[in-house]
Amino acid sequence: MMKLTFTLNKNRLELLVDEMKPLSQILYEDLKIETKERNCRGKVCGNCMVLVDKEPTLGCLIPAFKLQKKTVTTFEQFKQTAHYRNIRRIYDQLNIEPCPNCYEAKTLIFESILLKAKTRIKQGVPLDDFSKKFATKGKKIFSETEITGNTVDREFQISSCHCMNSQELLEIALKAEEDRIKRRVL
Amino acid sequence: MAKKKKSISRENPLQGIIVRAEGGIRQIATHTFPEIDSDCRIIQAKDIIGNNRIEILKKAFPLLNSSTITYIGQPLLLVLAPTLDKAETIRDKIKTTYKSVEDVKGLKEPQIISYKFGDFEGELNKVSNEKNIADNKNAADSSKDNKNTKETIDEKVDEELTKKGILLNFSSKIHLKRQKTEPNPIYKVLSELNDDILDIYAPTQWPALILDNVAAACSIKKNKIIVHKEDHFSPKDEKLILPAVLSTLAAIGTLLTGKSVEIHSTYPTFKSEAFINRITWIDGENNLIAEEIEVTIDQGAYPLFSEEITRHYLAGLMPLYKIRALKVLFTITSSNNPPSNFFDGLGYINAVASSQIHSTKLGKHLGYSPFLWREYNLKENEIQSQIMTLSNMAEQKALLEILEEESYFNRKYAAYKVSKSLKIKLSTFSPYARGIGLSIAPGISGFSNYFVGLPKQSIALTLDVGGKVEINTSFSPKSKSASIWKRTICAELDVDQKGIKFKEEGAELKDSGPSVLSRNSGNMTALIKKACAQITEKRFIQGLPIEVISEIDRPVIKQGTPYFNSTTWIASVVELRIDPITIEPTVFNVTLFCSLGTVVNENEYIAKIKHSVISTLIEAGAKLAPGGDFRIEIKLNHLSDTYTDSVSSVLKGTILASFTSALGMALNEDIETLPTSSEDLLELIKDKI
Amino acid sequence: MFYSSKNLIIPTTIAELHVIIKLEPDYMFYSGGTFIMNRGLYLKKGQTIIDITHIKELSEIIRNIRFVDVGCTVTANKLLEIGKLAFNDLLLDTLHNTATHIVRNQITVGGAICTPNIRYSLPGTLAMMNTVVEVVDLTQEKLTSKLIPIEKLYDIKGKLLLEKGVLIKKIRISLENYDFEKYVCVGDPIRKPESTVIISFRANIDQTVLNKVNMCITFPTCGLYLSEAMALELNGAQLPLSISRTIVISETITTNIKTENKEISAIQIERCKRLIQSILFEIEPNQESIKNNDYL
Repeated sequence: MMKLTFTLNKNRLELLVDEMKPLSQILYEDLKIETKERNCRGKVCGNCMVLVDKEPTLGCLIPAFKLQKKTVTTFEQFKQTAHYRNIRRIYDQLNIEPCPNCYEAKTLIFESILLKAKTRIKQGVPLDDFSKKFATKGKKIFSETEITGNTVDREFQISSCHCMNSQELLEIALKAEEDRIKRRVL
Repeated sequence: MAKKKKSISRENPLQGIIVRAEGGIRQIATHTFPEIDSDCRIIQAKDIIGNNRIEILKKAFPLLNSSTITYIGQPLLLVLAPTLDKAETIRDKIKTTYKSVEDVKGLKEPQIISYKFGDFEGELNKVSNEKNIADNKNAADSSKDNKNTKETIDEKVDEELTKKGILLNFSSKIHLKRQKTEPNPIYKVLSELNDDILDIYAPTQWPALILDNVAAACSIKKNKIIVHKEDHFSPKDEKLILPAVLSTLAAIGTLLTGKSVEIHSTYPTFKSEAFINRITWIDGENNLIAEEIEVTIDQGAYPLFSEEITRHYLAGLMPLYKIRALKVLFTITSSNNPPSNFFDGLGYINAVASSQIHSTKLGKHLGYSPFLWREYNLKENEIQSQIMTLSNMAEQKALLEILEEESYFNRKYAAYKVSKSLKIKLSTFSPYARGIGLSIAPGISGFSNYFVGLPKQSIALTLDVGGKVEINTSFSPKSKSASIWKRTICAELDVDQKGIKFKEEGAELKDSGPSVLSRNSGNMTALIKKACAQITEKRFIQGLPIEVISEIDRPVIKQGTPYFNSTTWIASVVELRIDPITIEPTVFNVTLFCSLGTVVNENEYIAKIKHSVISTLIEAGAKLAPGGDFRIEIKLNHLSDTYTDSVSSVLKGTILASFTSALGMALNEDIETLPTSSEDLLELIKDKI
Repeated sequence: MFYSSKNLIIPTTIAELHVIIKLEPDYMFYSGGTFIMNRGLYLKKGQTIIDITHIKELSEIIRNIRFVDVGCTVTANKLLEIGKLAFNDLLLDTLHNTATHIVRNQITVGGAICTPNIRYSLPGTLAMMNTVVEVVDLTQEKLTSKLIPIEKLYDIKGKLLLEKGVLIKKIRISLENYDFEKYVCVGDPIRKPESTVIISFRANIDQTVLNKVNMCITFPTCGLYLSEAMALELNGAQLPLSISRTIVISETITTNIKTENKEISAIQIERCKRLIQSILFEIEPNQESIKNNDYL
């Protein structure tokens, strides 16, 4: 057992837990925070997603000892942020949203895609210059920060719920990125 | 939403885990329990105070089993401990010894239910000599093993029969595999005792079912139990029976320990396996005479709702072409599989899919494309009117033509048939395995008109001072349909939506029946309108508050009452290609026409339809074309001003049928098992690649 | 000094780790932890977890003109970021397709190589790139490292052959570039490994002649196959290859694989065959062969 000190939804907490207990189980069992699935045992359902130090992470993959002094934000807290409101706005505009089973997981995946895209946006340079900076002869540069159909397909593999197709996901991601740039929600 | 009472013990309820049967089917000899602390408890069947069973509409199955295991996963014990870890540790230490059994008792005899419409034998006899058919059929059967000889005999038989004007027949079969919820959701149920009131918190589609079973199992009065509905999302109606099992166990745990109990379960819900064989009898001039359908449904260890399942299947199997006689024979079997009674409807989806697949194959056998076959043969007939009242078939035919134009069905169908001439299927170098499928069917929702035993679907509406309205129903106030109910009340009674609320859970909550099969749409709106009309009559005459109770009038069941009333139609086209490397069907085009009533928000409704289409295709074994290659077009055609019934079942059935027909066309093979997988497809075509 | 509680030990140097191994009877190394946590392997009570992510030596990346040494606790994302400057497209493709960005933050190179009974994408690509791993046996009195080709870490069925107490310190990846490189994964290696096939392929093209052909086929539950037969067959082959030759090569390879390991499923063999055909066809499509071939 270990004494775990971390911040959960802006509250500093101290818990006595097993070192290897996954974050998703800590939230569900010790802190009574509702989750859709606390451990799908290898099926990679994607439903236990939370934010650890503002990075979307699968809660079932993080053991307690890795959480020491970290900041954990659950979806309920994320809903209070401007980033969530940005994504919600796009859901309403396009009249498309994930089903209740995977709403949280998919929304946080959008957040992770948009955070990566932020790197390119903040650089303030078009993609070509960014590529040129690191290009060497004959090398294919991965525009990892650009939101494309392939990016979206790959990132959403982590969610096992099939309620939306690639086109809808891409449309939401692109519109959300545009909205964030426009409203300077970066 | 009802305010949950907080109690001290709720903060630290006992955690419960169900110990389920593992290994083979056998008889329990003994359980050996580890030593446990005083704050832990293991509950067995003998500890249950009242009835050790779950009863639903006069059928029952055991709650905790203590003798012969009838299926793997059957609940045996309940372990309670202060923490989940501790409960899991105790569960892992429990040892059970078994003795093998020669015959597994407890399984029921198969139930046979048949339906006959028209004079089946008479119609066949009119056209042919019965003895001739029997003789020829025997001749064909005896040479079953020798394919070549059978073909020769069949050709000769056909030639002979045609000369005499005698019957031919066309048959098809389909096997719909057992399925389960994927991934498994977590069910969490809490039970606590506050003074002498037992509060149950559970995600459920029928609170009254929990109430009845908890009362029976715990031997306490119903007015001492309050069921609080938790939020849940159950697109396949999977939260009807299992929450009742968990709630009853939790309640027993609470009464025996005096503490709150919280049970966690990730046990899946199952869909029944079905085999459908269908024969259509045709005369020498290609007129359809009669149909004979045999359906075998395996409902697992404890079949429930069997008769109602047959009615739902019958509605889906109903031929949409003109036929003089129909005979349907259902065999409901039980087996050592987990019970599979209520999941994704009661079989209408399977039946529609199999009907439309058979229809396409039949049309092809007679030389028609799926579109032309339906255009010529979509006709009303007496048999249909006995099974289901349909809305305006002529209009559906017109819509079918528009669908054909929008999807270029005929052109693509002709083009894709070319792949039949290729020697090698699915060549990596010149992949051209494409298919297009079409289907059309009417929609139903709710139970059949013949389903007895359910409480009448009823609500109570109360109008109070200041335009405040209270809706008293056991249906969830958080469902999407609730906004429709509120709008209806606003429109009918001219009150503000903010003043409308739902009655809190309690002893006086009206039991509106199970909220399954989309019963919360369509009928509910009619009920609310009826209640509003009753209030309007009494308003300004009688003092406030005015309370009215509105119930659905059951049709008087007499001979000829149709089983269902349909107010919706769906027509769909699915286009796909087979990926030559992964051997997976990749869908790239879906076109849908929906004829229905009014919807509140069309864009939102279309988005929900898209969800259903995509999930149905994926579950059937399809892949969607990546990126912008996948196109889905949905058009709604509003038939009336009343709020629409649900199209969920018929949508899934037609999409499944169109997908299967398209897949069969792409592979030039009959698809006889659903859902498919790459392994199944490879097995089908391995001799040809 | 390392942190220690009843079940968790966090050493900061290899020497400390060496000491710990002698004292602990039952332990498991924790690097990224994705496999352990995903499969619930942490649940074994009484087992000590040794977190090696704080050992500096194991998280270094050292590069020279011929190769790059990557410590076993370097994450896939880190490798991707640095790798843009150095690695070939094949390795970057493989890393990119291994998992989503969210999971790649946690996956480590050492962990990806050392999954007990299942092989994912990275070992196959590394094996094909003639990667060697530096291993150290912590159970010996004196710590000595040795370099082993990565394919020798697994048996014919893909099971990890490393004994308990042997630690992978780093992997050495060569910096050769090839004219044609391809990574393909068919199926879902996490959810449906029994029907998944992963192929890494590379070759040089001198004018219209193929040489230095290398291919590795990974069947997640059944092992890695470095196809020497293909190399023999294709080295010196004139492009474009005819369809019939492509078919013969693919069938030869898959027949050999099937003979060696009967556990490989029919769908995997079929997918493997078709993948090989499509890769060879992609090097340079032979349009004439399609027109003339009555195979179709």
